[in-house]
Amino acid sequence: MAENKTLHNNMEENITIIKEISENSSDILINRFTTGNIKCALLFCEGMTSTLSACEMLFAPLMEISEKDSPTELFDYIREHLLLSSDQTKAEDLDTLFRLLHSGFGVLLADGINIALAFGIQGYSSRSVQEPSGEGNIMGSHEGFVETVRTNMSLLRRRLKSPKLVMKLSVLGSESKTDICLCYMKDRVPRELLRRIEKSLNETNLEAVLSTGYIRPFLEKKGFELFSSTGITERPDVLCSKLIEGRAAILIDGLPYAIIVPRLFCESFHTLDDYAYKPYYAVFIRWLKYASFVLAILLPAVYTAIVMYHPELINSTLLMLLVEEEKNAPLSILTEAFLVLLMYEVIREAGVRLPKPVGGAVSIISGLIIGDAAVKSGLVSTPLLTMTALSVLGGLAIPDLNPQITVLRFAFLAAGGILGLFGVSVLACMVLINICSTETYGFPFTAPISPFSARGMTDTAIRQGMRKLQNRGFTVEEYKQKS
Amino acid sequence: MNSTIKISPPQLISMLLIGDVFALFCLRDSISAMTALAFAAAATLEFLAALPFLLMYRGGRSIASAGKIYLSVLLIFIIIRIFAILSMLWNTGEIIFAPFAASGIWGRILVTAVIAVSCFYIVSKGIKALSRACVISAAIGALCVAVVMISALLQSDFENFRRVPSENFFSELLRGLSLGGGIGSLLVFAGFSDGRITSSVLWYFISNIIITVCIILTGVLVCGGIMDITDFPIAAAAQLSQPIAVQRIDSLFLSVFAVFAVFAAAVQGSAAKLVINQLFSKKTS
Repeated sequence: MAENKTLHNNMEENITIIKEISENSSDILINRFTTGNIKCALLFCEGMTSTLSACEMLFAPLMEISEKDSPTELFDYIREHLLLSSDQTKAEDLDTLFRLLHSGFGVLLADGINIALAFGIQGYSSRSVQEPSGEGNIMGSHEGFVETVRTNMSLLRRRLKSPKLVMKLSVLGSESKTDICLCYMKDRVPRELLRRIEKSLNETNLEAVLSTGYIRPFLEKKGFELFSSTGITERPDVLCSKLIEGRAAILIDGLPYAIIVPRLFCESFHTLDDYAYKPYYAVFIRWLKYASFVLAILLPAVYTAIVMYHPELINSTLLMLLVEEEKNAPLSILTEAFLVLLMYEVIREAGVRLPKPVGGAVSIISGLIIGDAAVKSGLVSTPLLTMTALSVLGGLAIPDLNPQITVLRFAFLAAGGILGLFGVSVLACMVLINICSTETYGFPFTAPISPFSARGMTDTAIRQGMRKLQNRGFTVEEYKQKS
Repeated sequence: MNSTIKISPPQLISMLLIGDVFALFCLRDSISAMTALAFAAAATLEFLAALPFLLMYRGGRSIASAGKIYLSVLLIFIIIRIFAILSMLWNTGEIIFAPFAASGIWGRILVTAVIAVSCFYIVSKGIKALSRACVISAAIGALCVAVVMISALLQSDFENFRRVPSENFFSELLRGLSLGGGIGSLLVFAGFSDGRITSSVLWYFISNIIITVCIILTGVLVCGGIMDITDFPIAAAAQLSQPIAVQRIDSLFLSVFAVFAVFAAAVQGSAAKLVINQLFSKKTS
């Protein structure tokens, strides 16, 4: 690739090549000037740099340089006697030059030298730190990650001031050249985990990194896994708690999420709020979430199975009620259940994608008109609608697992509708084995339940008080299978 | 063979107990207190029979170092056990009422095929996943079985001990030995134990005896009065469990039955897969 070429000594030649490669892209600004009796050029990417920083930090000091004998002497003077930016580096090839230029650096070329100096004067527009939209918290911080990786790094550093927190920047994506930052606590993270993560990242052959979904498959085991063995979070406080437990995290420039490796199944039910409340309340909330998960995936299936195949299991009063409701329904209960669930998924997806002004109208149409009209017309029975609503609410209590709950809900409904409780049980076995086979870098996804760890259960089945939890000295390495 | 896989004692015990408890669920014909005693004696005999082989594993050996004849005999034993489990499922499915099981032969074939397909999938996932899953299902299953059995005991009558004619000890002992086919898989998986073989196996047999005695005695207490017209006393006892007047909970038993059927067959299937892999690797080497 042309970008791998080294720079030339002739500045104009370098500028010509840069223009050729970028096809005279309008956002690359080239400013020629002379300083120290040497012809120079400053390159910027429009919109990526701060004009004020460029003027104060670069233009003014550079124009005041006294005469130099050679471009090498000029560059040495700039590097050793001028502190133009806190982030100062050099580029020896066009690939690095373009990456720095497009990252908001000001790049200085000089005639007669085949390197360029780059100065960090970023000033691109970015979103300010706001409350994360997807991970609500009542008692904790209201700060979430943003799209700028360096801002995210600072959010972590503010919370973990220990020098043991290491953040290593690297680049991923042959075209996007996305900055990624591998974060870990050097005294807690298993070295083998770190080595394997770095190896996995080096083996990715992506053109661009535009979502966490581009990288996560490379960090997970090959093969079909229902649940992801890597986690994501929008919250720096959550990420810090995971880093302290010896996990590694990856921040990605352009995304307000961090990828956490490894992740356990039980963590989907944990929030940082659990540690803000009293232990008894935190335990209650956790078990409520465990029950919500089971309800979310099984309630429609069990209801359908019992009504279709095992009516003797329902008490007589409830049975009469259901018979009364279902006898006028034109469709079989299985079809009804599928339609109601599909309707909910369409409404949910529409609600996510629609512009905000239209969202309210969708809620009215879907909830009041369609739902009410469907029940009054007898298309759908009220008990089924109630079961579906309860199931959906249960799923909303664990937003982290929403995709899996959605698919499993349909799968269990099909199994229950076709084979009754027997089908639900057999499918449950298959789902369980899939969960138990999920692991990443040797960390079993079902820990600390299986393999069982009593220490781990003090923060899974219950939430011990902080006085006991803080003395655990727990790291995630305890869960690693010795294989 | 992956000799780096280690199975902890709870995992080993769960894997083996699931099959034994499933066999109890499918227990046919009359049972009595003598049956419980004879089954406990059968389990003890199996432990004594397995001891010499287990001592071999204490030296760090596994089936990888076993001879072809030993492996072949083990494989035959395990295959017979797999067919026995499927046969138990075939016979008991009707009484448990899995949909289609009562719909003639095609219904039963469908039910058995569903179990077999799920077993293939489970076996394909490997021993680590299976051992982890067995612990979870055994724990949940134990809780459900305890709830069902305790609820069933609400319908119990101690007079049933006298009502049920006591069986012959030796015939019950033979019945217990024929049901205890888990010894084959024990000999396979013990080689993957994480070093605590003796305690694992000892705890397995102790748990087996306790659970067997509890379940059989519950069956006698609940179904003793109708033992002569009950084909499957344990299943019938579960179906009679009704902790509150307006609600039956034998659906719990149905679910546990299905789960244990799947994992009982899958454990044997995994054991067979390991032995076959070892046999073929020996043949080609």
